[in-house]
Amino acid sequence: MHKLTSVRFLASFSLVLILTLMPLFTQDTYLLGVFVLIFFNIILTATFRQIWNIGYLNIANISFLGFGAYTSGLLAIKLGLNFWACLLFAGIVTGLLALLIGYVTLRVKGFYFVMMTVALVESIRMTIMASPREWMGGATGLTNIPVPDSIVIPGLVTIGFDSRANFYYLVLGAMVIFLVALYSIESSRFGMTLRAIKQADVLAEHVGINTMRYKIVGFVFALTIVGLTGSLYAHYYSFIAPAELGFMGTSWSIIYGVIGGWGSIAGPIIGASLITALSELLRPFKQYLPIPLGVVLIFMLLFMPEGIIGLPTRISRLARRALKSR
Amino acid sequence: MPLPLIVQTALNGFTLGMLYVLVASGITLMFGIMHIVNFAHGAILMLGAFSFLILYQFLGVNFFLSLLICPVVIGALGIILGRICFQPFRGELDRSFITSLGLILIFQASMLVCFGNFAFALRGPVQGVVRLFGIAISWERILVIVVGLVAMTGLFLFIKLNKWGQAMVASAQDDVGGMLQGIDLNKVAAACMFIGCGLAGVAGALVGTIFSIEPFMGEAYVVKCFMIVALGGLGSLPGAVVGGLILGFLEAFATVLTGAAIGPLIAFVIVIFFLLFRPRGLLGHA
Repeated sequence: MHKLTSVRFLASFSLVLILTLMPLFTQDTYLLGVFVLIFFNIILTATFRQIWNIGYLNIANISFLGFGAYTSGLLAIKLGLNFWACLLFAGIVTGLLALLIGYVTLRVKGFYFVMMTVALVESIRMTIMASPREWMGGATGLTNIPVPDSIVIPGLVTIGFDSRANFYYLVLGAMVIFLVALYSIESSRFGMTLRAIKQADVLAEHVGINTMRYKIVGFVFALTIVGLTGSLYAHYYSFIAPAELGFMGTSWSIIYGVIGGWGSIAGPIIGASLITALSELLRPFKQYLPIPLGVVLIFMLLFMPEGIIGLPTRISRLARRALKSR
Repeated sequence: MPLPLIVQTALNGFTLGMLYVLVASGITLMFGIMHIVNFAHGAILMLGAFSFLILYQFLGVNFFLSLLICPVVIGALGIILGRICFQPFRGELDRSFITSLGLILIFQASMLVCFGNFAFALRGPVQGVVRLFGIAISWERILVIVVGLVAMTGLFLFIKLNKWGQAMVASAQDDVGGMLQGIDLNKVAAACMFIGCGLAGVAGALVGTIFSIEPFMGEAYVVKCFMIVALGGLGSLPGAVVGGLILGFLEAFATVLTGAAIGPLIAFVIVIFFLLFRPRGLLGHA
């Protein structure tokens, strides 16, 4: 088991190293842009998985991206606040909203929770659409969100975010921090408790776990990350519109997760990178792509519920069975 | 509000509610009998609308004949979908939900590829407006109300009087008990998918006559109809009827009172708050 952990560590470390060094070899803004999109998708899928691990299919995940993006964008545009302050406020506001929403909705389970979050996602989208244009941009959305302010360390360096490469580093760094945080939470005692709650919440309650508190903390933690990501998202694309915040937004995270596999945090990473990269590579056929993707999704659910990351165990099991029968 | 306006709005709400009832009753049937969450029901409605468009507008089939063929086609599609995609996930709400996301992708993209991202409009067989005591209602809306009433009455009679309808009720109450009495669950599921999808097909065709047809039209309906199903009580058919009419009236009146942008939102928020305090819905069991 120890060996496996070090292999995992080495693999993820080298992956991060490659991603870090990449802008040195290519300055292609399109390529870097695709990677940034992949990073955003990975974060969204991994946070979705964190809440799914407590047993809740949170369709409103994308709304929290919207909360973060709109908080940050509005503060930057209307008040001219520094980006880093906007980022902080985006995290705080999203966290508080997650606390409020989680407090109400986490009481209901299963289908009712799904329904609540579907209603939430749509009503938030409709609220933003119906909002007066001068306040929140209405249906057209917020435009001209400024790029982040540069980091200035007097006398040493100035890091500006006008260039795509520096923004790439910002999102990469954020993603690594978020994923490490999610991973360490999951493997901690807290994460174990959350898993226990998913498997048998009545039992967990009976052994003295305050399940509601654990659920809310897990919920708020994951969605604060989504909010922070929303702030980065808004400043990266300099644009956020309610059309992006419908329930199909979260559905994409679910699709990435199912194809990658929910078993470990590697699943969302693999699923999101694979599908995002694929849809960029097959850009000329973009409108056809959802058809095979939907077929693959249903196929995976039927025959490979562990997703891509379940493949090695599946193959080795098949091989063992084949050897045994010989 | 003056009286004619109230009656007018109520009629509009009734039309809208009738469409919601047709879609929501399919969702609630599938939930009650197959224990699945078919979130692709809006996309199925959209397929119904497009098949009606092909039959009536492109092939020139008689309007009422197309209105009969359309639900049969969509119902047959529903049986196939039920067999391949939903039967394996009986009783698994999350996985059937994710399956239906896949179906939404497939249906929307294939219609987008075939017809492009345009909004099509249908011309009903009888144009014009009926005016009575200062109230105006178009023939298309009258058609929606009549067809909706006929379809729902037919469904209730089928369930009350027919052997298969009673088998559906029985297996919704207790599927193992039903099997012990010799009910073939697969056949009941097929019947349920046929009826549910057929009703969505009718609704799609009717939507086409009063609103427009485009590949993403289903999304708004499916979200609203799931609200209705939750409002009326999961798996309860009378609940779906009551809930659908309530949402239709709420939406119509809220739109008249506050404007087209905020109206649907207000109706939505009222439903959410209702669910917070009574999660099992109006006519649902605990």
